[in-house]
Amino acid sequence: MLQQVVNGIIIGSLYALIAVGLTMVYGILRILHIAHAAVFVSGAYLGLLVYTYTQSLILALILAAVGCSIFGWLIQRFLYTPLLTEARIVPLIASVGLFILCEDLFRLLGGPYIRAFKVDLWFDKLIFFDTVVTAHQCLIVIGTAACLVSVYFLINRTKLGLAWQATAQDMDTAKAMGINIKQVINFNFIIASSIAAIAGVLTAINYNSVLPTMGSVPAYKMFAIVVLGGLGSIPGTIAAGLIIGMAETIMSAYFGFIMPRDAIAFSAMILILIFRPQGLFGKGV
Amino acid sequence: MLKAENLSVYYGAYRAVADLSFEVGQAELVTFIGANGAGKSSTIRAILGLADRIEGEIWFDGQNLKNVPSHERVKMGIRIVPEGRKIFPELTVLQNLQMGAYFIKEKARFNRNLDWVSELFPILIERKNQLGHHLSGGEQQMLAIARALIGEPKLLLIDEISMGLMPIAVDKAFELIKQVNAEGMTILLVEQNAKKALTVAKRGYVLETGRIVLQDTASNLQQNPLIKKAYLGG
Ligand SMILES: Nc1ncnc2c1ncn2[C@@H]1O[C@H](COP(=O)(O)OP(=O)(O)OP(=O)(O)O)[C@@H](O)[C@H]1O
Ligand SMILES: [Mg+2]
Repeated sequence: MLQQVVNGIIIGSLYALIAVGLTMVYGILRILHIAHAAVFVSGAYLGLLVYTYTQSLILALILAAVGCSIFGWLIQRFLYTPLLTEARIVPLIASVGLFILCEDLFRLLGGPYIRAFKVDLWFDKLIFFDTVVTAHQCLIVIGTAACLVSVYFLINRTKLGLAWQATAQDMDTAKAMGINIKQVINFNFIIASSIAAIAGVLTAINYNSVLPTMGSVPAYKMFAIVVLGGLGSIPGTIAAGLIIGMAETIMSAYFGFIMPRDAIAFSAMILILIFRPQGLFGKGV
Repeated sequence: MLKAENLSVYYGAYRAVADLSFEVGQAELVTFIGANGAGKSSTIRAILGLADRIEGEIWFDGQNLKNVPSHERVKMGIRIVPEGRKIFPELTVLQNLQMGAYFIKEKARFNRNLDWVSELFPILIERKNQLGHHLSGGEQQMLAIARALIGEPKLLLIDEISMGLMPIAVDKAFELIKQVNAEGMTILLVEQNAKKALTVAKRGYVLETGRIVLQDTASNLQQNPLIKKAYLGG
């Protein structure tokens, strides 16, 4: 049981990392940024590329974050910003289109097969009684915690973070207070894309694989997670990521015969939409 | 200090404000009066660069504001008390005030201004860690005024200060406007409560369906039989 909880936390924290970016983008632009999953996959490929050449995990994480920030910023600048005045479905469709296009690009550039992402850490695993925590799992927990603490710090303890919160609550008034909205949007996409990149690298390490379609399950699952957490709520999204990761792991270990693993997030989403549409932690939209 | 020439404000193809020309001098207190939908808020928002599309020219401190984005205008010293208060609901009172003083970098200067607005509105400091949406309507209006004042406005735009305040608080608010104006702050005041507005203002413009139909000193407007009938209740 404890082993399943550990595995659940690992999966859940990776989900949380991906979904936080989605919720941040929604919070400011009110766009469902499905192409965020493409940013996540490009993070995994970039990380693998850098790691293969340098054998440095730190460098792989940093360069993947930088590369993905640029990618995310480009999406914002050239896809979303021109479409902001259109009906909300238009940028959503554009986002889905870009995601599909990117999957094909990854296939063309990276090859249609699975690439291994094997990282050697300085220890192998920790064993507490009969619970095994691998070194890779430790890495994921530390990496996730570091990312989430940084996001918390940036949002709650910096001036730009305050402007971010104000803009998410009321963009028009934030403008009237003298906030440079473009700067807030850039800040938003840099944070969201950086942590998606880190999530991509960590996920690749966790499964020891990078493949063109590794974004498709997260693409729809992150959607379920942000609905569960309350669209736009960062703490809600983190909690929802952990809950889904945990529920999936435990249910598939003990009740795997009832429904397939990936259906769990969606059953939760449907129940939430019916009974509590503002999300478990949301305050209503 | 502020000057508009042939200002028109559009919402899509609809022209809400047509060919407005007006002026607010240094340290002057000017009021816009007009019925619902006359275009007062649209004009105020255009001055701050918040309108979708305008025609005509706006000048502030000798500078043409064409192509100057909102945040630069705020930096130049234009502040607003927006219609409907527009407090950030999930920020604390203190954070709302920080938003009003976003361009004030020095901590000491911010604290000095904070002391000043806390003297004006002691209730806000008692509640400084409460979320904006937990304040009552009247308290939110005080916060909206404090949030504008704390940023040291050169030009203060006020879109209906009396809204949601009880009569004694309305008197206090107008008293405050008069006082900060006497100390040299330039103010453009939009009001439903024309009677009150004309007692504090030096000059006034009367707006009807997006056009200025009359402009005069406040005392002349108070005497004007047409204004008396339409806006002062008899
Ligand atoms: N966002 C908008 N979209 C379309 N039309 C608008 C919008 N805002 C205002 N209008 C129109 O512009 C005109 C002027 O509105 P405005 O809000 O400036 O009036 P106002 O004088 O401030 O009125 P009130 O006293 O009710 O606040 C009105 O006819 C209104 O319907
Ligand atoms: Mg108005």
